[in-house]
Amino acid sequence: MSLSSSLDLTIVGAKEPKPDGGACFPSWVVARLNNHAAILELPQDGTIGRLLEKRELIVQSLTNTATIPQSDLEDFSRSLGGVLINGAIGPLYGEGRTGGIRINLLINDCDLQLIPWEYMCGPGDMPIPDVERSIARIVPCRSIPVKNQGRETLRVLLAVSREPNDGNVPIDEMRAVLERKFKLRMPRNKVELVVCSASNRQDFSNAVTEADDNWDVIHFLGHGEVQTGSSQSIGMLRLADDTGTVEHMSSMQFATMVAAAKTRLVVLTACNSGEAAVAAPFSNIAFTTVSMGVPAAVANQMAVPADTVAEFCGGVYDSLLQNGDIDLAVSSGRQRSFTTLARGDVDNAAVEWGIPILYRAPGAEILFPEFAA
Amino acid sequence: MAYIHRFIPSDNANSGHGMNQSSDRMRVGVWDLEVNAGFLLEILNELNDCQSEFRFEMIDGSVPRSITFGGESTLDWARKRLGPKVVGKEESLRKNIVAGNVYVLGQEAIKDFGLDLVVLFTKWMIADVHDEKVIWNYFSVSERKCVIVSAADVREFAQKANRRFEVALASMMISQLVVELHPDKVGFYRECRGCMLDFNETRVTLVDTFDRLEFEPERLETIPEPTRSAAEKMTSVLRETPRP
Repeated sequence: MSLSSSLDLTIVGAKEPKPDGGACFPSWVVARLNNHAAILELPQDGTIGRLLEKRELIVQSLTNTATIPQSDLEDFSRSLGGVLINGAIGPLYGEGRTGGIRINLLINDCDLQLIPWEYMCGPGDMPIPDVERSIARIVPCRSIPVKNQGRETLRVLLAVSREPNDGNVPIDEMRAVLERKFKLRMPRNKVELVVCSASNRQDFSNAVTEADDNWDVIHFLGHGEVQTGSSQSIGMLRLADDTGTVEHMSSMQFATMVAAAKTRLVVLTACNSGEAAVAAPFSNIAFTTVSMGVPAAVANQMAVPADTVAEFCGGVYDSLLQNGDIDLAVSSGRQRSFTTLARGDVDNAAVEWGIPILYRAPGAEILFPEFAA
Repeated sequence: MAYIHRFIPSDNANSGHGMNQSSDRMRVGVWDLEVNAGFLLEILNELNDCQSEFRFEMIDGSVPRSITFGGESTLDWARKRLGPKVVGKEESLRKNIVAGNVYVLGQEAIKDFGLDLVVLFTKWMIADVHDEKVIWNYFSVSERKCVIVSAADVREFAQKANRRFEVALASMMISQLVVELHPDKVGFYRECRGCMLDFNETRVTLVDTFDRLEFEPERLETIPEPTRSAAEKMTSVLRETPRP
């Protein structure tokens, strides 16, 4: 399995407000595949607004306050493709799609970043996850070459904190539950998983820095939030101990720690950890983490249960160990997420597979060269 | 040791996933739906060791959040059945999960693993339809070999009774299991006597049940053998589990 073509899609939003005072919607998509390029004007007919409304419906379906029939989700997947893979870009996509395609999205507009492009499918594609079609959000930063460190296994640190709703669950119990859930789903003998409690910044810092060897993956599982100050919004991770004492770790503090630990992949399973807001650069923890030098970060656009996250991660690590390619691995994780989800309510579409977002430095797709075929 | 099954939905009923099904024991799958009972497995191991009627096995699976979430959807469900009678009860109803949705999961697990029974723990209270009547705020319900146990308030009640959370959960599981296996002979009693078959309408009386952890002899007599002996042994193990 490989992704032999890269389709770079740069989406540039118009910054001038509309004459009627409405929201600013972006205007152009610039596409590049090998030595072909194309440009496309985005629709100005309210399509973008409708896609944002659909995103809100997906959020509501996760809390069971709205229902999304499978057919609606499929229409949404096609609509997303209809916006970006359109006009002169369509043939470029078609050309790249034959051998597996990685779509690299570079977006400068907050509204457009909020759209869950991860659900997108192109013309003729099935609106379900496909390992031969990856989507990565490219972070404009200096890409540090990833070195082959001769690894044979993955060293994964899972740092566990609590969501506010689970405030009465002792942290040791939470850790035990998550350790069981994740170990059950990891590739056998290939992932060294260490689970620690992150009740405060010191706990987290100790876990990240005190290991004898670097962590290949640092996974934070807990709660994130965006705090709005007078001048900017800052992404925060919430750390709580059994006494109810809460500490916050800013995106900058988190990113500095994990970047210094030379980890190659950060996984953030925290509400709002992937919430997009380019205008407030530090409000997006995953974005900040990559900006600070970690080659790739996977975050959630919305909250999902731990079992679903564990299935996704199992798929990601399994794939990484086979090919070292993070784009392919995240697509594999989506597929695992999709195929392992219990059916249950047949009226409601399974939306979980599109929720993780991959943020990546340019050119950092081969995250573990030692596992590349 | 209690097995842990990773639940992946399958269209092959009774596939059993290659598990040994030769045991004479009744196989009971136990599924923790976001309750995060960290040490439940230890308690299940002890329950397996003390009797030979049931074999408890844990199930761990990925479930759409919409199924394991109460809130507005429960309110909608209640509105469709109660109409204007829900007015004033909205807050209470939102704290419930609809049993019918959870039963679907349980039935899938029973088929996929070839289980005899399944127990699902939820952090929400339980809403259901019983004898054509809408009920809610329940601690446990069951139908067609599928038991749902609510962990809502149970941590707090267990703490007040000075019992471990997992012990409290397991005691609720045993009570509802016994009722599900013998619905014509065993039931819950409105009068609360600190017995594991108390109905606990006011909820807080569950503290007394957790504290005593026993079947009142008169009610115990209603449970047919061999379930009775097994239930007694398991209750005894729970009672003797050191208090926190």
